[in-house]
Amino acid sequence: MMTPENKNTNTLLPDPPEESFNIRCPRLGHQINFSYCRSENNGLPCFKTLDCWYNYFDVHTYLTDKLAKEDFKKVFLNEGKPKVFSLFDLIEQAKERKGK
Amino acid sequence: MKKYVLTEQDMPRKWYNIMADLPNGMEPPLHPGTGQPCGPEDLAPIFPMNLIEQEMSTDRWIDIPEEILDKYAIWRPSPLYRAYNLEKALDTPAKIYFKNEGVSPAGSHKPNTAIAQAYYNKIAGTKKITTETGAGQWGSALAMCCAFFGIECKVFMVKISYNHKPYRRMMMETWGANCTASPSTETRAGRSILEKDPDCPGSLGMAISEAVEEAVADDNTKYALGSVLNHVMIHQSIIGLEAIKQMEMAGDYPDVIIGSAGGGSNFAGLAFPFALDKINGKEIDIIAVEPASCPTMTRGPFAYDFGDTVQMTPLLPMHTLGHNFVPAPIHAGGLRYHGMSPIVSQLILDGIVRPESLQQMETFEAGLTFARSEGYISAPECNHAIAMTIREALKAKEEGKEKTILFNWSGHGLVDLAAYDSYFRGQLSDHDLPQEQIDNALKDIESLPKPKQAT
Repeated sequence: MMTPENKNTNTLLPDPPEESFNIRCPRLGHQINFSYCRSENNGLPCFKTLDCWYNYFDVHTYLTDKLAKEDFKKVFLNEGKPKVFSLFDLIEQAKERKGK
Repeated sequence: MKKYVLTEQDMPRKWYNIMADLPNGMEPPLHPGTGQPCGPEDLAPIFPMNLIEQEMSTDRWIDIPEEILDKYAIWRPSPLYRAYNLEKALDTPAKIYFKNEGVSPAGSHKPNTAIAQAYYNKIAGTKKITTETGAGQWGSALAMCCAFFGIECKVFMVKISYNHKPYRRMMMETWGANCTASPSTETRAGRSILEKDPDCPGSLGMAISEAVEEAVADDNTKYALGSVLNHVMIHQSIIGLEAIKQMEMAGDYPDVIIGSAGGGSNFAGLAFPFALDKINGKEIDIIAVEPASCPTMTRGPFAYDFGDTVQMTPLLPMHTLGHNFVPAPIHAGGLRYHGMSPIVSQLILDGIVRPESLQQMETFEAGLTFARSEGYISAPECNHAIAMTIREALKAKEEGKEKTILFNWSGHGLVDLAAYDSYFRGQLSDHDLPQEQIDNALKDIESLPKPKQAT
């Protein structure tokens, strides 16, 4: 868990810090590395990845380059929805699985 | 006096529901499938009807059943402390009080709602409650409270956390819960994920899918959530209601109220009963604090709806707009922050609550100052409230003002010492954005709609 090397320079690193670099995940409540955030969402990034990593490296450009436009839009360009909506979705999905 | 302790007889008999007093009200959520306001039946597959009624209630006061008061009495009323030693360490004229929610057996404020949810499920006939947890603060609280009421408890713990936080898992098992690493082979959702990726470290999304699936699959099983939802905020209001009585005992009233805010429940618990006074005209600065490294309230969502153009608001400038930045509400119904209680979000937009963010190094330094003056080792999230308190106390010193500050000490950090160890070993740092980066990014958004600055 080391600090990215360029913290005192005028530019952000283009690539993620090495795997041993961890930051505290505000959702889980413990330390994690970028690789986890990068694929937390069924292979896509956690919706908070940009928020959490923006000042460690140029995560915005990095993910714009790495993700398909549609995936980027799906993860990051959506309006925050109330938790209760997520629950509705999950209930419907669970009902579908139950019916199978 | 150092601490203000209410008797069990003084414990509040009613919870406070701020839904009754919101200045601009809140529109009911529309069901995304039907477009109609959601009704109780929409949530019935996973919550008992008595909790759904609370979720949708606009009654100002809700009776706390005796059975819940009996269980609360194990550690409630929680003490309110005057932080004399911290005041001395800071050499501040400010009077600092904190409400100690770390005295619960699970070590945090979470059991305030876990007990209520376990109780209401019990009387509704629920045999088993499922939930998801990350580091385990919520899972352990629910495990304990289900044990109190003889309800089976199953906690889907994100696998990476399951391996990372064994002590929380052990706590859950000690209280009799079945703590299962998610994704698991016990649900269709889990099996589907594992078929594609047997080494999947899991996520909160996967864990909640598994927990909800088990609740939907069995009429005797329900699901519980430890934050964000309205009924959770209602149950947590006992913190602030006790604090009001204790501040009266101290012959004082807070000028500033501070709580750390993740999903909003510990902040809301202390702040909402006081917010009622603010809504009625009292001058109180109510501050919700979050990490600057991952802001939710102070930066808000970076996704603006530009109709069909799908134009992305540049990310960096949104951060640079400062800690008082509040994006203008874009859609009818107001802004909703990812993962934050809608009521807290609404109170920010209404100007009742002021969001602030702090860098992690400052919060750990504050945690040490607190531990070395008042003794308690705080959960890292709780350090945000302490750091903001210290800021306000030092500001009072600079201004030569007497000021009364009250914050919620929401939980101890005895299961989070690895984070302190990282701090001691110099493995944590703050990262300010390079000015050049900020300047370039600001140029990019000159032509875009300007967000509203909070006052």
